[in-house]
Amino acid sequence: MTRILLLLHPTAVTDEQLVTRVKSEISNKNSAADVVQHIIDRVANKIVKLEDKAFNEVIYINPNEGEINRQLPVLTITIIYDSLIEDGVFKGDLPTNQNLDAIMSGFIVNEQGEWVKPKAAGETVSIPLKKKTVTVGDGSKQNLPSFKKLSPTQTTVGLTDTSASNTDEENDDANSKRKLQETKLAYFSESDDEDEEDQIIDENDLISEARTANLVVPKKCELPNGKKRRKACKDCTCGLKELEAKETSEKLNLQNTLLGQMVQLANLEAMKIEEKMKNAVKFNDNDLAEIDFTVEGKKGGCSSCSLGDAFRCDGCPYLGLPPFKPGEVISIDNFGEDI
Amino acid sequence: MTSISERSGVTVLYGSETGNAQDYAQFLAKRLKYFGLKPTIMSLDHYPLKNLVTDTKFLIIICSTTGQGELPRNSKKFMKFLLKKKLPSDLLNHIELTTFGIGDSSYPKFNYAIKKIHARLLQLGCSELCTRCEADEQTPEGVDGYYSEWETNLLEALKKKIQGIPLTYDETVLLPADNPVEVLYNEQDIVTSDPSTEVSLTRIGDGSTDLILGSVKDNKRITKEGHFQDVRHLIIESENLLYIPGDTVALYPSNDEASVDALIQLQPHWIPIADKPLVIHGEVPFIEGGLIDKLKLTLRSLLTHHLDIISIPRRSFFMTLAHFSDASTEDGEREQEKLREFSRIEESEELYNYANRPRRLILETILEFQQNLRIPVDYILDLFPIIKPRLFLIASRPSPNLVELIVAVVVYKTILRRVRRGLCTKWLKLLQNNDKIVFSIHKSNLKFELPNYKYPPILMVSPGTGVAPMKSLIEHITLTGIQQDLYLFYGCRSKENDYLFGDLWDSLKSQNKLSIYPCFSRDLDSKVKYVQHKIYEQHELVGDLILNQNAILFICGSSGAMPREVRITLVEILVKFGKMKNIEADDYLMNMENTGRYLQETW
Repeated sequence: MTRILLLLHPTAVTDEQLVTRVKSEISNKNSAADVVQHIIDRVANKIVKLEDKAFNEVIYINPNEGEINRQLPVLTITIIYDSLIEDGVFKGDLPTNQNLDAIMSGFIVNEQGEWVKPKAAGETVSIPLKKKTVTVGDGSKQNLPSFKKLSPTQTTVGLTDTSASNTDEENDDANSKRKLQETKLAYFSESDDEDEEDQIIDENDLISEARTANLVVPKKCELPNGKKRRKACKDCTCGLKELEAKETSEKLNLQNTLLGQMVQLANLEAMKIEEKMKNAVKFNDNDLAEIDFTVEGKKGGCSSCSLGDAFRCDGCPYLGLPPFKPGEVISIDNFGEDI
Repeated sequence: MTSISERSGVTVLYGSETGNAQDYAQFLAKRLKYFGLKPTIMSLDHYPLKNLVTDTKFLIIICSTTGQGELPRNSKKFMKFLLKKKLPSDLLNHIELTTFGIGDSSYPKFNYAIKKIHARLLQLGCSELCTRCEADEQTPEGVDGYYSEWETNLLEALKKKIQGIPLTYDETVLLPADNPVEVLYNEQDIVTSDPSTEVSLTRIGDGSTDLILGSVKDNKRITKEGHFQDVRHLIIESENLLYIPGDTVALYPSNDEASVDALIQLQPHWIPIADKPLVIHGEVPFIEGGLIDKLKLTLRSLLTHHLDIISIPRRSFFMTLAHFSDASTEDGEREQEKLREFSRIEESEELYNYANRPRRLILETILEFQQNLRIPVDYILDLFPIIKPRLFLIASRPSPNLVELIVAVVVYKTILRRVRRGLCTKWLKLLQNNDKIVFSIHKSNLKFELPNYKYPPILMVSPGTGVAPMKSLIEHITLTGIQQDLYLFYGCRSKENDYLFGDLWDSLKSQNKLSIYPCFSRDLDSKVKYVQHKIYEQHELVGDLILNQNAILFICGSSGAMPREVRITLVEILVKFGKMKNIEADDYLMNMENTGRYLQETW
């Protein structure tokens, strides 16, 4: 009888339709199959223990796109490997960038991108690639030469070290390149939690090694366009910050005066309109000009100040106020007060 | 897989705390794309390390330095891997490297993060692609000045190595979106607001942090009514919490519904589709805390919970936005040219004056340009920055079912008349008792014990809300009965208005469990104004604690003047009390840092 394990990503659990659909697909293909399902987290954390060599297929259901969302810890891959029978297949929403982890855990990646557990040809054949790295280096197993002092000449022995005993026959360039790459990769493939005992170099020692002699520095003490920079540093002590603060409060005062005038004008205008309405007279463009503070000849009437801060001059009295159209009443708060 | 394509073998990685380094990286990556390359861009921690071997030929790292020469939060895992002793010296000998550091030379450990990364990568076999750069925020040229010089060098080097990179490019061409968003027009609307908090609880997690569900037990103001600053004491209830003093809580704030609605109104073509389900394509960048439930994804919920529409627009934002301005009219043409101007490194002064200095919001920028602006929905993930979680040092002693925070609500004014408010604190201020929220707990590496002297005295310096971790530590030590002497230097504006937890300190003092040295900068009768002055006033005590009693110093509060002044004061005390020369005192403090006796958490 075929035994199938459905491994669900936690987000798949909330999507009942998805799970039912996958299940019905399975039973359409193989009605006799015995289907078990677990959430992958519980398997990964070993809350659920999977039987060894129990399943013909393990199907991963993860509705999330993107490699980061699909990534599987190496330990989990091993657990899944162990739970499969020989020739068993791990498929579904697999990460596509972890084929190396799969291979190192013993899987073979087939053309459809599924991970297949190979038949054990003999007792000793299926050594995961990971183990191989032990013999890399000077061949003295496990302990690569350690180094006390950090200097480029005294770090650990390199992979391309000529003293390394390399018994492989391949001389083919591409092949040896691939070999080297695989060897390099072995240094990356441990799951990070299990690796706590790894010896760590003292990062403070790196500081003395960082050469500061030849660094890129800006050419001149000015911006590329030739303007001098006038921006207060984060913790300004030279007084520029205070100057800026003063400018800001002056701006706000100016705005208040401006707005005050506008309110006055608007009131005046309202009174006039009311007066005219009584007499049923239409008001003309000249009347409107009363509240239009951009009409030529009035203060601040350069052509750009109605366009908004992005286009205003350095000393524009309207800086900080929203853009406006000639003749339009400014609304200070387009989004309401609390934004 | 054996040979890496040159064009796609360019990897741009960033380590960024505030988003500044990230912006430079995004800007650079976009420029490289225009030059016909296919760079990969990611944070240092989220780049699959194996790809350094399989996919990387040219490695470009942009990283800032935070606090005491530390790496930003999203680059620590990367460094931890690099530091493994067993790595061979030619592990990365296929990589050509250049780095760009962002730092502030007023800090003693200027650009240490990039120095460490660069030196270690050279040890591991990388060769140098072009001269590296350490930018200094304190210089008149600013970081931009350094960046443009470094980028010129970098591009020259790449042009030599890779055939066929054009000399210039056409910036009016719109690059395809990295994460096109597709609206499912024919589907039913999904209600995600009213209230939208429910949706914010559906975050799926990011695979590396555990999200915790909690409910608000209390959210009260602890500064006096009428005082200019609203400081909140937030208490969250949950279960199975595990933390110790020095750990932090990350909160995941959302935008308010009004701001989101305002933005949608500014893009009328969004109105009919705002609540349609949508799908995000492509490799979604890492999002701390993960996306909300994908069944709840709509334009509205994405804008509410993930896109930071009220942050200050950065250069890379303008770079993309300019494409969406319709230049067929005179107005539109002028506006598009202006947007493009803001995206140029040579015009950084313009950008600074328009956006940074008045602290203008993205939302306000779009309002100003909306007449000729039509933002295609498929580009929103490429255009808007992602809302980052906000970290707060825990203020309560270890407890399995409670965690307390102290948060100052951010409100200030610039020349823009509308009051500026922080995204997170605006959200936090509105939290009601029993409201549910998600959060996560993050371990710090602060230790308050020493290897050969388990319980040394602790000298705490913390103005304002910096007192949060001190409260956690003091409550923990006094309640568990550990024999450890505690000295707290606390500073605030006035005893009446913002002396946070004054009663608690007084009561512990009367029980001889704590020595407290408060100072008040705005009280008329206070002779000593700031913590550094208070420390100097107590120079015999402080000198004795540091030199004779092996005390651990813990400074916490806002970055800038305070930690620097405290350090200068300590040097003076060591000179005076310890009869040291200035340089010896500097070395002594540096050594304290390296041995875990000089702890600092600033923001």
